[in-house]
Amino acid sequence: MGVKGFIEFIVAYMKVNIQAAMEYRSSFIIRAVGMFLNDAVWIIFWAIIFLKFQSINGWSFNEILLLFSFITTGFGFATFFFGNWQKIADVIINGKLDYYLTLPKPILAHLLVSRSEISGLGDFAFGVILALFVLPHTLYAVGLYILLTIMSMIILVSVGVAIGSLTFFIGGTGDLQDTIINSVIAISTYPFSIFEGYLRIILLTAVPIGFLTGIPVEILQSFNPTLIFYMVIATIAAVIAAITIFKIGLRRYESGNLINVQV
Amino acid sequence: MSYSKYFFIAKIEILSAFAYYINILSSSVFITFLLFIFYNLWKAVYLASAVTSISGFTLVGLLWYLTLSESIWNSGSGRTAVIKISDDVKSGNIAYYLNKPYNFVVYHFSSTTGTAIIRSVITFAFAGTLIYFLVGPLKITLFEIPFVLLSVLLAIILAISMNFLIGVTAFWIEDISAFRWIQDKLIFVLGGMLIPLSFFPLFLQKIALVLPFSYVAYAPAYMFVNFSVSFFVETVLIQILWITLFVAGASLLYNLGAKRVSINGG
Repeated sequence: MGVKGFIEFIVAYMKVNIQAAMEYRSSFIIRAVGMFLNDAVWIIFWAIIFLKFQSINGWSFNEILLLFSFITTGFGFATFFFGNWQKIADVIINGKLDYYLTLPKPILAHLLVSRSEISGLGDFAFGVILALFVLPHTLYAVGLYILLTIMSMIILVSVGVAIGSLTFFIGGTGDLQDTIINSVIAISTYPFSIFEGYLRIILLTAVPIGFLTGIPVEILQSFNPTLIFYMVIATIAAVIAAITIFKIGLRRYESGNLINVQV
Repeated sequence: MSYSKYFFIAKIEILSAFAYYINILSSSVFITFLLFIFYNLWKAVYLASAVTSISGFTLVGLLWYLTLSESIWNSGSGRTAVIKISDDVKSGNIAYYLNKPYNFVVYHFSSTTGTAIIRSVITFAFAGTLIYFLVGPLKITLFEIPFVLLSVLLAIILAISMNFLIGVTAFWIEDISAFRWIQDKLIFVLGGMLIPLSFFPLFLQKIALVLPFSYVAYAPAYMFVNFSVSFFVETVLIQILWITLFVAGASLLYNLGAKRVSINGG
């Protein structure tokens, strides 16, 4: 499959996901609006903290808003368009990978786009609205924000794929995957400056959580080109690592005896 | 009516929870991990503020407060049961409950409370061990422990009652997930699970104390760190009042909902 065909395939799936979401309008509104309000409560939590304390290790309320904009936009987009990014363990355990293996499409990409969660749109809308409030209204800042959001989202999906693919090697029930992914998201919603020393190094290398929100916020504050370069490297490395772990793991896949019907 | 069947239901649910022990362990590990993040966050705040006490909380007191509030939340408080009620209404499986010789409300509480208590205890053991090593023990007397435990038990039952009320709305609104997300977040913030109400501006403290959410997390956790008999009495009475209101509301809705249920297909 060529690059053009691959992009057309992904875009076609995205269109179907939007159409499917619109089909059940009340569910769409409840889930999307519900998630929007859900995200808003986090902002109230941080507003309470920053009413009492002016800054936390150099981070102010403005940086927190930017942080939430990055994580909700990236998470929302990923959850709506690549809905299986945090469900790979379930797919492997239940033998649902068979469906993807039999079709002449890129397995991992097909697996990722074939599920969509409506609540992701609520997250996405929340993040975009937040960005409108906190971003400087310059073309450069907006362009950089979009670029950083895309890279942050790619890293998030890659981390999800890598963690989910561990199921190929260690089996389990998917609880481990959920715990690690929840922990990754939890860390990314706190000011990166509170993590110091070895912890900070780990969060920028072995588990690149720092690149989900911490580094993008620092880039938008400082416009530091070196940090942008690191961000690009981290994105490429995360994608390569995720694909490699998935591919090696796939060789160990043994399917199961469950009969699944893909609808 | 014999109540022995409800103890039997509780026993089966507890045994079932232990069969899936990885689930309890992994969520306990997650909460422990969250407390490690809180430790980093609040250590930075206390260092920057150059004070030993903020709104009556020392760093040690605050972290033990958060350990207990998180442990109560991680009891699950019947969240899985709520999803099940919603799924059963959607799939029509609710029909199997309607004709069983038990009271569905009592069934719901007996099937969730035991498991919730065990989840809470295990979470506290994990998270408490980490906090003990990070900041040391909390000064608490043996006399206070039974009072705090009673309030924690009532907090868990209150959370189950709230979730049950949300669950039975599924008879009218099929997709109740949004209600659950928002209720969770209200407990996180207005309930004081992530931050004690004492840190709030005064007007918000007053609002939060009127709402039921603070009696799920804040009140028992505050009592754990700053015990007084008068606060205990006030808390327990309000907890019982809210539980009564939620159970009455949920029972009423369940009875109304069960009458209008129509099952599609077989």
